Amino acid sequence: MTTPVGVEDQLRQLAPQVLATLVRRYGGFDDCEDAVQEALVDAALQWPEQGVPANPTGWLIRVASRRLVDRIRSDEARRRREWAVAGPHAEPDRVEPGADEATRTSHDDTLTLLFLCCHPALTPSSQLALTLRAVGGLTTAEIARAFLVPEATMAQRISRAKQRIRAAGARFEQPAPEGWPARLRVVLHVLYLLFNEGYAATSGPEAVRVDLTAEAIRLTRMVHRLLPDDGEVAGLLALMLLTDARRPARLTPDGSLVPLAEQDRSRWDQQLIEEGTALVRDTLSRAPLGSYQLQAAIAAVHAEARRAEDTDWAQIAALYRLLDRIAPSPVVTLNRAVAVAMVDGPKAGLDMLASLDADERMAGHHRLAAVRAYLLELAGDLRAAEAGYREAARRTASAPERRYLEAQAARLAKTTGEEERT
Amino acid sequence: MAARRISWSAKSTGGDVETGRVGSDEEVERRSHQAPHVEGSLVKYLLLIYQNPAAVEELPESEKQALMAEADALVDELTRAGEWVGGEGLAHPATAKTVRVRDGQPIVTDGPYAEAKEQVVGYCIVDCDTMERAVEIAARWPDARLWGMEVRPILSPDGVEM
Repeated sequence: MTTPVGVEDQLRQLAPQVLATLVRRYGGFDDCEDAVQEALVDAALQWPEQGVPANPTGWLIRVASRRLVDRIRSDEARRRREWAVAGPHAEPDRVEPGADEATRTSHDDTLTLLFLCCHPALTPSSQLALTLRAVGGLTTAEIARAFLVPEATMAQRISRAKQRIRAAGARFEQPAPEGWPARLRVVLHVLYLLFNEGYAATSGPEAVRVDLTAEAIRLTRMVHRLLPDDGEVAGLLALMLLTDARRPARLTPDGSLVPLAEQDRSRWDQQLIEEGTALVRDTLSRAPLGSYQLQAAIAAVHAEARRAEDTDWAQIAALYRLLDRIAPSPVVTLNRAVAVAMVDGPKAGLDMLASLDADERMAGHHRLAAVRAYLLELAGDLRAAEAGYREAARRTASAPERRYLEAQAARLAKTTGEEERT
Repeated sequence: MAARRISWSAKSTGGDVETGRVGSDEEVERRSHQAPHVEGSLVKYLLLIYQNPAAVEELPESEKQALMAEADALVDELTRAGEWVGGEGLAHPATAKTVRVRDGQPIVTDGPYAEAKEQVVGYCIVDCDTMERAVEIAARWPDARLWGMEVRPILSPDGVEM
């Protein structure tokens, strides 16, 4: 890419606003979204050479509107249908944002777009893809590379997602008050998944893959600006910042995973930790408690410990107990078991894991086997621990996780072998 | 060190846990987010298509055509859904060569690696949200009715530390 980073960033910040304006004026989210993508590409090519126009938003709206008209004209039947809706406003060359429009759209409309892209009629993978394109302003090719699938697959997924939104009769408006909290939860979950996808990436984000972690943080910051009083939005942002802070320490140069307990904490990003800690501390003091806030608080307690052995596990165990109460899930129980083991001993943790064997969402999952192996090792049952790590290694679909788990098993096999020889 | 301790749970034990808010309207969430997301959730799956080539040869031409049309329609559907990553049919197992290197020397034998009545005759790769969805796709492949499909998660280069 020869485009300077500045222009790219600027375009992607303007993208949701431009799209919202178009949808508002002409209707038809589907075509408007395509038209905005084309306008973004035009801008990415022209601005670096010809300079950024005085009114970048107006420029993008004008070009996108023209593109939209081209699209509509290319389809006779569609033209009649959509033109009737667009009516007298459809004079693209004269379209500029109104005086108050720019501020209004940049606020509420971005959120409305997010609600639309995270529509419950879509599968999570479609929600992720559409959010990245329509709100994040990424190209289909970039999204495809981020998820390691062919561009054609991603193009189809986005196009299907837009069809589904249309079929579901979704309108470009925010959900009714009674459905609002649940819909916001889906939006936050999509942002959370986006972050996780990015965080799990082990190969060159700058060179080939868009950094989904940064993108998730950018979008969540945006939502936080729009809804500053929502504790869960703040909690999610804090959780992302505190987790992202560990990124410089989570991989060895050869791409192997470094567990939390063994990470070089001097490499954690202190600025992110400070920001995330302040954010979660502030929100916990005034907003109703929620699961993202609790997860962020747990991450903050980890971040607070200079060395792994300084970790305040009692505090973490208490937070997990709360989390288990307000948002019970097998994953929470799994993590809680580790904290409980650190406080009350491995036996207590292992007892807690027993309940997960009956849970079909977790039984046979590599994380359960891995945690059990870890606790068995703490308990001194090295043979069972080794078998557990092997089981976990067989169960994971991640190559670096498998390497890590196999290495753990091999380490224990060596220890028990030496014990037998002596 | 101890002076900087943050008491996160002090307020939380006060009983202002809003269970109602967190637990309400679970339906929306459940419908679109069924799997427990532990980490990177988007896994690709390899679907191996097994057939008994001898039995296929016995099938009437019209039935073979019908099976192929059924598979084509499914590929079409998966493509439009944005789940199809790729796939191919394979030439008859009789054309297979199995290669082994022993003592540095390649030994090439005719025929597939495993001697079995059922053989891999094709594969597809799908990118979907859950193993359940991959199994659902496999179950709709016509060969699943007659012989079998094998669903295998593809190892991802991504991962999360423990």
